[in-house]
Amino acid sequence: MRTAISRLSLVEPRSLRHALRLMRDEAGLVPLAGCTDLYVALNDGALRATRFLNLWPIEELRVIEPRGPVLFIGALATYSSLIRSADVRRRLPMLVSAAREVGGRQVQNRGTLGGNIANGSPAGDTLPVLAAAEATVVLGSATGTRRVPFTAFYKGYRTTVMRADELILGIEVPEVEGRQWFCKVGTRGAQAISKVVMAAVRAPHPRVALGSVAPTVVRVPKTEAALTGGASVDEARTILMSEIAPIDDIRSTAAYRRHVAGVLLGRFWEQTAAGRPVY
Amino acid sequence: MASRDIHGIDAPWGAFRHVGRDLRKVDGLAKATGAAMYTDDIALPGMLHAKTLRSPHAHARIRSIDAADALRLAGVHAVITGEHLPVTYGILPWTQDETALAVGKVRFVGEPVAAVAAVDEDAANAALKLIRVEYEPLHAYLDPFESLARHDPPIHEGRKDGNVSKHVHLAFGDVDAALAEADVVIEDDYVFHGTTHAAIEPHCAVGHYGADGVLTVWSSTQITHYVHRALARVLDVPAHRIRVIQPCLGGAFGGKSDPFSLEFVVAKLAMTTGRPVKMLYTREEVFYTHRGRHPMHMRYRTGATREGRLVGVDATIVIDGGAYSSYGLVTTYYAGQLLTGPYAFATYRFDSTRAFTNKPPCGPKRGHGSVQPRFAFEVQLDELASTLEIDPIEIRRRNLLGEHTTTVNGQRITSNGFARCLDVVEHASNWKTRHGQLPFGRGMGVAGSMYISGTNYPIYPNPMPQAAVQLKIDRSGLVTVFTGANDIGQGSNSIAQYLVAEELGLALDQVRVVSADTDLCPVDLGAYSSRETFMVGNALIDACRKVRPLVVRAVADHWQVDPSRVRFVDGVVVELDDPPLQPAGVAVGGEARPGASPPDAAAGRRWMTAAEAFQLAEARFDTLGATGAYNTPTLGGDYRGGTIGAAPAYSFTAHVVEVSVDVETGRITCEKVWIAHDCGRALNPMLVAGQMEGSAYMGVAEALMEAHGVNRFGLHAGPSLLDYRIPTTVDTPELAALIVESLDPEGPYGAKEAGEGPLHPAIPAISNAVFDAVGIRLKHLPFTPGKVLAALRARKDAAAGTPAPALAGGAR
Amino acid sequence: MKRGMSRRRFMTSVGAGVTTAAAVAAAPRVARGSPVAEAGRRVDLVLQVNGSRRRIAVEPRTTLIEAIRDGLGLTGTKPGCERGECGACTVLIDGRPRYACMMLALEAEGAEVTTVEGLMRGEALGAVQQAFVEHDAFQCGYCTSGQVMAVEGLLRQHADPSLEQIRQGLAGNLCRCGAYAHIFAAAKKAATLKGTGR
Repeated sequence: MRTAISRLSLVEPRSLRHALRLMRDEAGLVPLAGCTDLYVALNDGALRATRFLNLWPIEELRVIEPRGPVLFIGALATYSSLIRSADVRRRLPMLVSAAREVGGRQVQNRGTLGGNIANGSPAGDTLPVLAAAEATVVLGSATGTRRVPFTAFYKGYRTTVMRADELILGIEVPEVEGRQWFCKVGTRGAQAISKVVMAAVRAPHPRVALGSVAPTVVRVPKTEAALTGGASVDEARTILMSEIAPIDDIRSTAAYRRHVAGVLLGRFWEQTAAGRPVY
Repeated sequence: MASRDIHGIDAPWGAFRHVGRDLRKVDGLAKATGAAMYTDDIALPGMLHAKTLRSPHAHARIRSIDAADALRLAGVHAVITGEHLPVTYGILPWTQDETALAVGKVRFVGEPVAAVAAVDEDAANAALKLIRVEYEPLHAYLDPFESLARHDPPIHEGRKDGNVSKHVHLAFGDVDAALAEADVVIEDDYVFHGTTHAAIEPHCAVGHYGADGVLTVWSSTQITHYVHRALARVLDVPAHRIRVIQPCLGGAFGGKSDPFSLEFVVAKLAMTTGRPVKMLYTREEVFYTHRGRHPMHMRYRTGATREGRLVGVDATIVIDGGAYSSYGLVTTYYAGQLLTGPYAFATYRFDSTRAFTNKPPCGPKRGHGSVQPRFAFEVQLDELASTLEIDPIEIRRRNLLGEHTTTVNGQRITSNGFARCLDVVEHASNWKTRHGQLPFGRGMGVAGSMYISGTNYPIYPNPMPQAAVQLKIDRSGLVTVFTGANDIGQGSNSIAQYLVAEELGLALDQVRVVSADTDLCPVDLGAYSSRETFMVGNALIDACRKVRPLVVRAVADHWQVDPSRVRFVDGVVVELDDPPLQPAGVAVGGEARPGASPPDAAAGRRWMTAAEAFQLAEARFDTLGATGAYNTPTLGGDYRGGTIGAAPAYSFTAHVVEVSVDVETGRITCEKVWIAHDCGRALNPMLVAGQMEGSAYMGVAEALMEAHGVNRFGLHAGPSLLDYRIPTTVDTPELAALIVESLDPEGPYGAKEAGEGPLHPAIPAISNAVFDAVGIRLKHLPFTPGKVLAALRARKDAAAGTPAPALAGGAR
Repeated sequence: MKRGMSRRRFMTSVGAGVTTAAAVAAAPRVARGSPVAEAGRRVDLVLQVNGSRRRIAVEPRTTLIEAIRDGLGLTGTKPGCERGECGACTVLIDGRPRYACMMLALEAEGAEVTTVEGLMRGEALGAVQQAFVEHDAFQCGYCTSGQVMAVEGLLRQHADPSLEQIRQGLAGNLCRCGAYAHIFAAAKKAATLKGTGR
């Protein structure tokens, strides 16, 4: 590892309340859980922090359960637990599809939904699902709890509205009406970073969210409006391709990403058409 | 010369007992249980850990290095720089242009500049940050064409030919006249990008300087002998005081066949500190170390008659060599020399130039130097077939080179099973009813290839054996084989066990193999050029046939029978009936142990254990042992460079590949590869199939997934296994390994290579299958979705009458 | 590993005070009462590895793979990338496959850790190991420990996995020798040997 990791300290909270107090009291304390992104950053020498708060043992953040009208998914829910959860399978199957696309089994057993959100990569596999599902992020601090719509959570590339003393407690997903759809075009069949990832809901007001096409995961309101207004999918595709702002990088090119985003929109529309099976 | 004896293809005792069976590997248990010792598993008392400081510049002069602060850091034992290891080395005696740590200049991002030995990796890493290096950046050459066009400043000073690493021009027959008279000439450019080995075990070395003055280096190398020589040269220690050991090795594929910086560094640091020193490269460092497949820019012109007979092939190749020579001299020859089969060329010319660039050095990767031209040529041949409206398999048949013949460039061909390889893949894939007839978006392609089975080129010219072994015959019934051969996962130790057990009529567990330890084992040149089975196999048979007559005679005299009536079967010696029974008729199971009573014993036939036989022989002839050796016959064309590419035998391969192409996303999926490979004789079909599958897997990945490149600063584009995308389980197509046996007259029992040849056809066969699927010719690797979409657009535009835009070269 | 460092136990029970000893360069601000594993300090840890309790002193930053290899001498678990990309370090944590390079040794406290060595029953190979040998499911063998553990984890979840389940279940384990087909066959065979497969 490039990081001289002997300088790192690990702080173990006794409880969630204790963890929140520690976050309040110590600036620069970095929460860690599944570490599937954090270790890569350490390995690259890209992480300056030296003190870490280990959230992994906090069981109450692992909960997945219906709470009134919403499905609550704790921040420490692993991809494997999302895949296995009957509630998630029933209410948010596109999240199961997304979780299956993350890494291999070992990463799925370790990586967490909260970590995917906090890391905030524009290529995060689950993030378009949360955007399309109009999920809410539940943030906790020593002073209380607040809720932020997922679509308002990111301010820019890997920056969020979270305060330094806050932890992600989980997300709340409302009932999703309509057919859910998810597709990742990655760099390889597994253990891949997406070139384009898309989640969408076929409803009277269709919702479309994409990853890897902008500095953050995005919804595409103009495209959605066009679809809502009865535009043809070709027209919507044209709008979509101008609405997103992908870049060239090692995983793909801007031109290819734009093209494939259009292809995925067409496939979403075709595969969720009435009469076709919903998965 | 004894070592050039031809041993024949027949079973030594009438019928094979071990050869030809799916036997377990000698190291199978150790590997399945985690007990196998790899270099990084070695921990010695007081061992220090070393780390390397690497260049952040692609090309720069080193003004100064200040390591004073690093040396003061607690836990740091030593810091060394280029001035401590100034002697140059290189795998080839003519191109010794590397140093273990940069001297005066750096020539690529990631080049080793300094090294630290400390109590642990953390302390060593912290020390690296305290070493101050002042650089004067120089113009970085990232494009081989630029390197050839200008050389101020040069990458290597003092060369009369600027940035040219090697240039080869060879012509056989009048190509210009042949092409002028050809009915059809196809001419095009092909690009092979760079790829790397990405063995899962990172390079690792441990150095130990003993109180007896012996320097021991354990290293994850596939060329123990050359590392031994290079250490002696660079460290100025006599070779007889150096011992190099290759522990179990976690994959190489050509990527561990140079002497590397870390081997010299751990040795030097061990000598400096008096403590054992280990260095394990990080995954990122493995990418900088590289030595992967050379990018090549290739122009081919191929002429043929109307009937599809090849009349002339003309190639011009520019090779991107990276910063150092490595095997580049050979690569530059191989790029041309290895193309002259499995098809007969009437005339042939190639001009290949390797240019230095400021990138990680390229070297040999599985199918060294010949995978790239093979891609270009087989795609061109396919285009010739479609132009002439000849079936792609048929056009290959019309140009068969044949067996026991000579290629246009003077290479001797012995056995040749290529025609059968074509038959086998054609039949297995139902080619006749499917090629050209699948729905749009799905297609099949074929390609063929030929590869060396060993090379007669011993890297440093010398008249000594290229392969040598020693046998120790123990009175316990054990035979220990000492071989310098490097088992890198291909199974060379297992093959040694099978062959000796076969030759001496022993059970498998009566043969143990000690390998790749320069103190214990006779020299073998190493695991490269697909030479181990062929050369070491012959050396083993040579050794066995020296000692076997002594044991047989001792038993025969003891029984007072003719030696022809003494048979060794699975560790039991039996007296044959008169007339002799076939030994296969002796009902001794594969699991028989020495001392077990053969069922026939009751019938009155005499028998004894191998141990008893060895004891009789030892009493009669003194301590039993034998050496065996192999050298290639005199081979190659009578011209400068004519021996490069000359092999004692050649393997042949044909692939049929089935692909599907998603025309919306441009993604190619390789659905299945049928691999027919002529390996001479399959000594262990399960191992041969594994090599064929592994080769094809790697070829498919190079075509569709992998790219080893740098950005505009010369920085590696993605030095991780996430961004250097080797296939996972879900990316690997179905692979059908179809073994073809041609029984080579000079191979051990007729065997030839299987570990490199079967890679070649996968790449052009995919391109050819894509043509069958959607009508586009992919000539620039890798075949990314972006390139597929661009080619599809160009085809559509061309059909609509508008001029086709250029391919989007950089599209991913 | 650093020598001469304190072996004090810093992962103390809840509420126990933490002493910031003199060896720490700058005493960091720590919430009172918080159990902290301080940088550079050894922590005594009890790991449940392959069915036996193993006491080991680690630094807080020590990854599980380092603890297993360097601390416990179980070198069957291999480093290939140390960033969760190759799978050579796969072990079972409470029966599920995980990358040992992506978790701290401290986190494994209280969990059942199984390494490739732990599949042996005395002299006898585990079913997966046996199947790997029979099917030549490796060439160089470096990824093999991880592959074996991934298959073991898969079979503990799916007694009789389909080929597709095997492919998906092993997608986190790279084999550069391309022995996947042999590994799939071995996984099938192992299910049979365990008496769970068809």
